Amino acid sequence: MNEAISSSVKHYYTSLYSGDLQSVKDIMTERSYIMVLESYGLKLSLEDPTFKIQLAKIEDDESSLLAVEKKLSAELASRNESPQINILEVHPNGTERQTVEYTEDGKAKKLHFSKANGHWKINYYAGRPVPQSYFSSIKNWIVSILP
Amino acid sequence: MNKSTKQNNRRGFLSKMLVTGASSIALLSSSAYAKGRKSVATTTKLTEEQLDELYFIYQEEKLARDVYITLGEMYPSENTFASIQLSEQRHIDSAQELCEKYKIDLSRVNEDEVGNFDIDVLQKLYTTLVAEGSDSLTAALEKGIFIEELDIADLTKAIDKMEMPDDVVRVYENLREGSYNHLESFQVALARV
Repeated sequence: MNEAISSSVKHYYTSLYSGDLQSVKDIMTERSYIMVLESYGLKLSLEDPTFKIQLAKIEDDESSLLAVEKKLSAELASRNESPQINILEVHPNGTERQTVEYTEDGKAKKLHFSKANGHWKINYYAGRPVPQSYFSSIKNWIVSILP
Repeated sequence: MNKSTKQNNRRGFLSKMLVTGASSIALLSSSAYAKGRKSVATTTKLTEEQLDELYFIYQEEKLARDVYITLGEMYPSENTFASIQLSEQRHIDSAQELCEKYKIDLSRVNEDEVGNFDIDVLQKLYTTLVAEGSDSLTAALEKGIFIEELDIADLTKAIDKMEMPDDVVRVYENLREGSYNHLESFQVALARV
């Protein structure tokens, strides 16, 4: 099992629910990080019209992004959540992607990773099964059974 | 599951929706599906990022349908959910056709399993939207507006920033047109409450 990737999943949840969005940003692709802000910011945007307007502009306006990060960070920390993460398996998907299967408080989940500049990053868009050549399939199988 | 079985399941799903009383309601964006079907331009080779986007949009359309199915069951007297979930099924079909055209493997997505997603962030959105929508009919209709605005924003991004080929753009423009119609329907329904 890829230890770096497994620890990234746990780090993701720890950072998220402590409101440390900078750490979340560091371990994700840019587009995925935007999606985190949009999905976890949903509750706030339903309660706060100003936040909703700022959230809609995070990709084009730096000050809106900073305002959203500040409010959401405080809101996430106030949730007092610390889910139990149990890593089950890491599957290769081609040579540049991996999928982690895990449970969050007992519920089955998946996170997809892609490799960029030598680093594995969480990438919500990387779940598409990548067609593999015969030789890369064999290679991935060998890698998956290695301790 | 082979293709014909999957198609039969989809027909089964649609039939079930028709039996539940949605048949009398006009499909607000049936044109989106019809126009999408005409897009048969020569298949261009897409980049990995473009293929990922197609895969994602397909699942995002499923998110809309699944939330409307669940909220529609909570508020059976509000027909807007029933009519739009049928239309969303057609959106899923259009997005699925694009994926199949570009040979994207959809085997990890169980389209018939309502509320289950391969992408964690969509799972999170589904859970939050349903939970928030369960507060009241007004809250549920507001969630409909949120979903349609999200769909419109993501489709616009895919159209404007991803340099997709013409056939994909045509389908996405039709889906977006459908989402604008859905948005208007939710706004009208919300004003009635």
